[in-house]
Amino acid sequence: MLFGLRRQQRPAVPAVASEVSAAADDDAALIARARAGDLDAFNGLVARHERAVYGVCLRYLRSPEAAEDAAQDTFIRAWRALDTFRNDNGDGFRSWLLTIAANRARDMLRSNVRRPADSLDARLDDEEQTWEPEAPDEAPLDFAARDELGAHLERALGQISPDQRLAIILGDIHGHSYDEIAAITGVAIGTVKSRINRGRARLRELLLADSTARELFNRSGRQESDEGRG
Amino acid sequence: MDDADNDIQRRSNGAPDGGDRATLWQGEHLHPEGLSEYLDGAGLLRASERDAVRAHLADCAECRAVLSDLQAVVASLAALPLPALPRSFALTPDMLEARDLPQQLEVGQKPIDMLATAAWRRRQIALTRYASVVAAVLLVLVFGIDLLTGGSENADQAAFNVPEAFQQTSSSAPAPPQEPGERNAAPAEGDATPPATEDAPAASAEPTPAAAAGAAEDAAATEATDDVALSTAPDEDKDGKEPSTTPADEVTVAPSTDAQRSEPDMLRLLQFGLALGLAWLLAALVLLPRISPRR
Repeated sequence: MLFGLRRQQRPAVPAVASEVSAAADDDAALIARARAGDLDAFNGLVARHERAVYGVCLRYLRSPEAAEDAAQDTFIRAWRALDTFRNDNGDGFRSWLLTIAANRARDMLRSNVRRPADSLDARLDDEEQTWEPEAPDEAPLDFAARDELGAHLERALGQISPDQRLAIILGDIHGHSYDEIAAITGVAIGTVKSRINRGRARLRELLLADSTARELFNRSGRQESDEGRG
Repeated sequence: MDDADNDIQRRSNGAPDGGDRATLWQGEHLHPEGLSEYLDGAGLLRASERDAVRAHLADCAECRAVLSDLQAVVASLAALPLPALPRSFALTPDMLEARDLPQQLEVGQKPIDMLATAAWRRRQIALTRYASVVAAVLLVLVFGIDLLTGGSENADQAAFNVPEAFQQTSSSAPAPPQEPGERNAAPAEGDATPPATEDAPAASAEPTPAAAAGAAEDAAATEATDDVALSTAPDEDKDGKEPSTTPADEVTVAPSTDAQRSEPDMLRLLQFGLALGLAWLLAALVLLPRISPRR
């Protein structure tokens, strides 16, 4: 039942992708105006893509503050480098933004590794409670996961390797194609596939390792296979 | 059927985990990574592989469970909502200025120019920082030496007849050598110090802090004309602190004439050198921002 609901919501993500292509014309017009120095036009582009950019940064970096910095930096860099975006029909502007964001976020994560005390995952080890969406005053990641399994999944995402996480965020959460992910992350398609496959397998293991998550997971999995047959 | 399975197994064993290809089989069963790839649909696995996977899934409940797990993972990932924005990321003009980079590129300007500009600015900022430190140190040295020489010069003039060589080096010294007290009382503080002339040692011991400050100011003013308008603020600061110590120094230092005759000369030279360096640095600091990265 729970899963059936989610199943219906599923088109929401591909819808994001198709929304992008449908909005490509609008992007193109805004890009042209922004290139001429129109900051308002550029802010129109920001409004259009900021949720996606921030969402990728947040899920990748696991820290709202860091994600905010990365997202803001991304748009400032994008404004300065607007002329390097060559696609005049506005196609792939979001991918281009995400390329900048991924670079920035990776840099931040690297520098954060040197100060593990600042990273959310380090805090996670000490005080797991802060992660639980059930503690809303403390929850550092307000993902607003719609159900418990989603919350466990968010947590598991923090435990897979950053490369796998980024590939999964872009592919399975944001619905980008392997080609786009390869372009955004700057690796070969084969590497993207392998990261996604390994990441998913690892997520499954992590969910099964937690008893609560396993129960939720098994329930939804059984429903899924029942649905598949029906 | 078995043949096909073995064929695939051999191939996937040939390219173990390290490769780009997902491991398709894990012993008798399908590997979760391979199933994940199978999940992503046609085109990713070869036709023979796909058929083999399908055939195995039909027989093996365990692998079907893994596949449905993975389907659940993918579906749950797709259902995760986009996080709410903490704020708008719209750019404001000061946001762009704050980064000390050109606000916008002219149309057609190559991105490499922008990168070069950014790198240049960074280098310039670092350079300016170092130059400022050096300039600050030089400034302290120049005024410190100025005060030292100014103090001993004063004592020298008050206690004895001023040596000719010394008079020549201090280029803008206004007074002829015969009246030591006159120089002491010259431009800055004629009203502050009574013209004490006849008893030179007494004059050197006498000066009040105010008079000494005036004397130092006098020397500083001389220096200022020499060194092309160094800022006057710092020497006022110095003068405020200095006077309490100078009078005592003058008394003790005064008697040794010969040593002082050559020493201030050297100090003067050093001072000139430092002043020149300082002037160069200031010029460099002013000029640097105007030099374009494009040669």
